[in-house]
Amino acid sequence: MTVITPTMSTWLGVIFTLFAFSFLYKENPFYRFAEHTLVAMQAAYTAVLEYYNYVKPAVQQDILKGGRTWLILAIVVGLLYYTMFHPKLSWLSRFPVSIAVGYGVGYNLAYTPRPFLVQIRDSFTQIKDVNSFLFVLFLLCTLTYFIFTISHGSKVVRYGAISGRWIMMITFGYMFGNTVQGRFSLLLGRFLFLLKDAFHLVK
Amino acid sequence: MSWEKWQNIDRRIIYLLVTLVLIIPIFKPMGLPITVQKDLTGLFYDRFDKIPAGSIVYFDAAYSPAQDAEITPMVKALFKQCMKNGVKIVVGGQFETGVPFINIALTQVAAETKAKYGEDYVEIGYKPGGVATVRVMINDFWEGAKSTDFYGDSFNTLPLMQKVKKFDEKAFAAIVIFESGSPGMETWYTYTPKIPLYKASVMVEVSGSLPYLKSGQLKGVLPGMRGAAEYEKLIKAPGAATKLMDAQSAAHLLVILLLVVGNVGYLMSTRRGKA
Repeated sequence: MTVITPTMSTWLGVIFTLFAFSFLYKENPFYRFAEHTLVAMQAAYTAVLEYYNYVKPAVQQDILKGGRTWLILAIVVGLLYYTMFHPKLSWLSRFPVSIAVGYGVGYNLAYTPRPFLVQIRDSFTQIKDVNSFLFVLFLLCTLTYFIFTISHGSKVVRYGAISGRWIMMITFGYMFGNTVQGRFSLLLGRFLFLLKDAFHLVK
Repeated sequence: MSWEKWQNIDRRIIYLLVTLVLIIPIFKPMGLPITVQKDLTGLFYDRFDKIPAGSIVYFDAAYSPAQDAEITPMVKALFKQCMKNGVKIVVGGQFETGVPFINIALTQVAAETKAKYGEDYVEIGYKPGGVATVRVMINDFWEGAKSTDFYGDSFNTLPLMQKVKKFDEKAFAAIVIFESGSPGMETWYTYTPKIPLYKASVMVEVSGSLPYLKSGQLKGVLPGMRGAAEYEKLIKAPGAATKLMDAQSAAHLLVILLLVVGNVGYLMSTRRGKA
């Protein structure tokens, strides 16, 4: 059964877009309503999606059909998270937390350093043209800015650090420009939705 | 004249001006030329276009609905290119909210390109568990993805999935991540470094991606709506991004104008203060 038709969906989109835009004038209850609805909707959506897309197939395939009944133990350990709502049993929630943290730390320590080491190595070994050379030079200048263990009295270190500061400022400007462009794109997306999909004012 | 006023224009007037410069070009396009950035979009296109027919590419929807306007044109352009070149696609998602949006985009463009679901492309949907799930998928794709697609159907019913048993370089010729945040490309360059990784990204993420492009960990970066418009030009299929680039340019001219106005106001008020 379809609860929300495409037309209703579009109009809900229009109403909530306007509610969100109303914040540009000033804080108001309509904006708050839209904000809270979005958060609640995402939480509900994620719960339902994870159940149908992962939990249900896992139980059906692995436990009921596959006979891997030991997985029930993992479910029980996972459910211990909810004991944190009970003052006397809340200590039990430390078990799943410690397993998750231990797994995460161990796995990250094993895998995470590699990409950064590869990146550092390849930054220095792939100097093929002027741009590559400038990349390495700017990298060294920026690193020099953050060296505080040696004196900035020598000209090399001092000018390297000053150059590094300028390079960072230019980079931040570039990042800001990208951010502005990205934000305009989001706004344009909403305008196009209102003008094209909702009110059919443009093709 | 009060130069201070130039520095403190009411933000609501600025919002109104931004709204006008964004909306007017949508109604009256100026047709400004779109030039392709050779080191970003051009590089992405050249490398991606060389993927041989019959290969399988993995699309990762790692974006939220707010970024739909920037990402969807890129999704459509890349899907069209893949279908034209005979490249198959498996679509997953690290963001649970990105999956329904990429589904809407693909459903539209699949109808245009006459792509067959199950043969030309498959959507496996969002799989929770983060890197733990990815790790399982690397060894056994079906096990990690629970052999179930976005619509709840078994992989057994989908011919394309018979060719995907492991998440490795033998099964996938490339990964394209449509990214707006974390978890994002770090999942792939960390755990599947042998599979060429392409990033179609929101503009905010682009500057942080460039060192990865330089080091070769990324094979290509497609920068936001501008990148999408350039890509639409390269595949000769103008779409939503091309239509909106005039508005982008007009809005940037306004920003430059406001920066000049604010700085002139600041300089003049400082000079008058000294006098």
